[in-house]
Amino acid sequence: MVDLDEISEALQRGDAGKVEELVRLALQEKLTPKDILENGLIKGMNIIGVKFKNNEVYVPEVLIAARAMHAGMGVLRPKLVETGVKNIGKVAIGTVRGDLHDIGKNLVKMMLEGAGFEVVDLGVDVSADKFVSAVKELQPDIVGMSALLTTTMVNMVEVINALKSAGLRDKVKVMIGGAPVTQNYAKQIGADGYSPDAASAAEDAKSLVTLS
Amino acid sequence: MESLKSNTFLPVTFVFHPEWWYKNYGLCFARDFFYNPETRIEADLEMRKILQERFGKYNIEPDHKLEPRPCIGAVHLAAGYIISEMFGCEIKFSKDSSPQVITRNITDEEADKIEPINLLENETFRELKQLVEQLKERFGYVVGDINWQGVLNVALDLRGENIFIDMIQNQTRARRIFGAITQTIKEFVTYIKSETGTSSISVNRTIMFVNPGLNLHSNCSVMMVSPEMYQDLLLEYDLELARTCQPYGIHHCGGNMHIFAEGYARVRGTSFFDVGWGSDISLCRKILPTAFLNLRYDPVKMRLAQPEEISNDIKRMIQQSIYPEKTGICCINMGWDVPDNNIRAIVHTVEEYRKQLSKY
Repeated sequence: MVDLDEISEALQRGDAGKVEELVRLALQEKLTPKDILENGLIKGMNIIGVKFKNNEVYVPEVLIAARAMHAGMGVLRPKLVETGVKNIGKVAIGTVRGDLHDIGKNLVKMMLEGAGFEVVDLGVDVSADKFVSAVKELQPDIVGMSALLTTTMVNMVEVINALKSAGLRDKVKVMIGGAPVTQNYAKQIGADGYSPDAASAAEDAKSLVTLS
Repeated sequence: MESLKSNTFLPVTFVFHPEWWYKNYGLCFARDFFYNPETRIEADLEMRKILQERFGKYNIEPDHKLEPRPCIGAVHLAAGYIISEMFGCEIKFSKDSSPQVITRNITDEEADKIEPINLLENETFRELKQLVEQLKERFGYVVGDINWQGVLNVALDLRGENIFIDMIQNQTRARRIFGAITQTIKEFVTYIKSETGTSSISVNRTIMFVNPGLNLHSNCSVMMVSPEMYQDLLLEYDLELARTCQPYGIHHCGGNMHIFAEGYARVRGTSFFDVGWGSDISLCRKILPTAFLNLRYDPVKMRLAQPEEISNDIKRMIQQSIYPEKTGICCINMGWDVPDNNIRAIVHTVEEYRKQLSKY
């Protein structure tokens, strides 16, 4: 019998092959896809998230765990669709205009996926218009914006203003993050959430989705 | 405001983001700014004039000879891109920001075959060399330097986040990449220094007042890995660079230098550290008692905080560093709307320190 903790532990070690094998075995043993997802994969990513927040693990360890999660999801996703298990929400995420940095944004994306969100990655150097189009087309619950530079964080305001002008601001929650960004800045520009790190972003996104 | 008596004791330096130059003075940072000899001379003179007119009374970096000079690098910017460009990364130049490197994401096969750059056969290097020769022909000499980035920074530009996976799953590959970059950096630094006498003013201007010949290795991305991983996989390249590029310094702009300080203490002959804002300065000083600590202030606070708060921060930082004679203050990449009063607050606070200490 597959122990779901084993899946969680293999994921934390970044052992993608083992995670894939155990998820497959768990499905053969008729464990429900929802149970495997929540008590195996998501549990493992949550633990990695907490360790990342506490500086017990760093970016490489998070990346490797996220790849193991991805391998497990490759096996599990079709079964989740079959059994009608839904994501807990949808997030459209991107690095704002003028900024080509993507590691922070990618980490947040991985932690959100690890927490059960569907994430649409809009990429880097994303204009306000592109964010607005994404909200119109994809109807995400949350728009996530990242910036590494003090000089590009100001472009987050452009996006919020463009969402307002398009009449979409009250249809979507806005989260921001990145090295120079602060809680105070989020408040100043009218964002709904600010996260200081990728693990907090997943928790904050869950709170925002629950509130909406 | 009285002039500061000495810039070499508790030096203070400021570097503005290109947006500051563009929005306030219309200076443009397209490719010509970096490679066209005429544009380089004009822009360098213009930048020095602006600094002199606006901040001359603060005596931060007095420039008594406001004449054209053959300056090869953007020494008034924080702009590291050239080693990545030499390795084939595309560079996005913009009118109002520093050149941004577009990650190349080299494949496993490309990574496993990577070699140090042969400078003389490299197009980017030849373009730089041509600029140097043109300026030398006209002036007889050249000054300035070009930010030569850092081993992990360039590896990230080349391999993207896969370098972190390599560091766990394929250390032979990671070492091959780091080795190729290190070798290239060594040759590049040797070349630049042989032409201008400096290599790292464009990484941090403080070294002009501490030791202009210092070679400053940028460890910006090291903050993303654990101290153990730094010691296992990256320390050897700092050791190698420190052996061959003396005098040597390490730039750690992340807010966690204290957790790497034990590792940095093992890099023999490292006399200078850029200490990122948010790092535990007291701990850094305890572990690195004889080094010069150049303390970086937060450019976001520079924009948003009141002068009094900034002044208090600076006082605290200097106290934590313990030895003012081994301490510098800088703020890099300040945006277009940073208030001059906040810059003045830093200068004034340091001036007070200098006055007090000169009594003893």
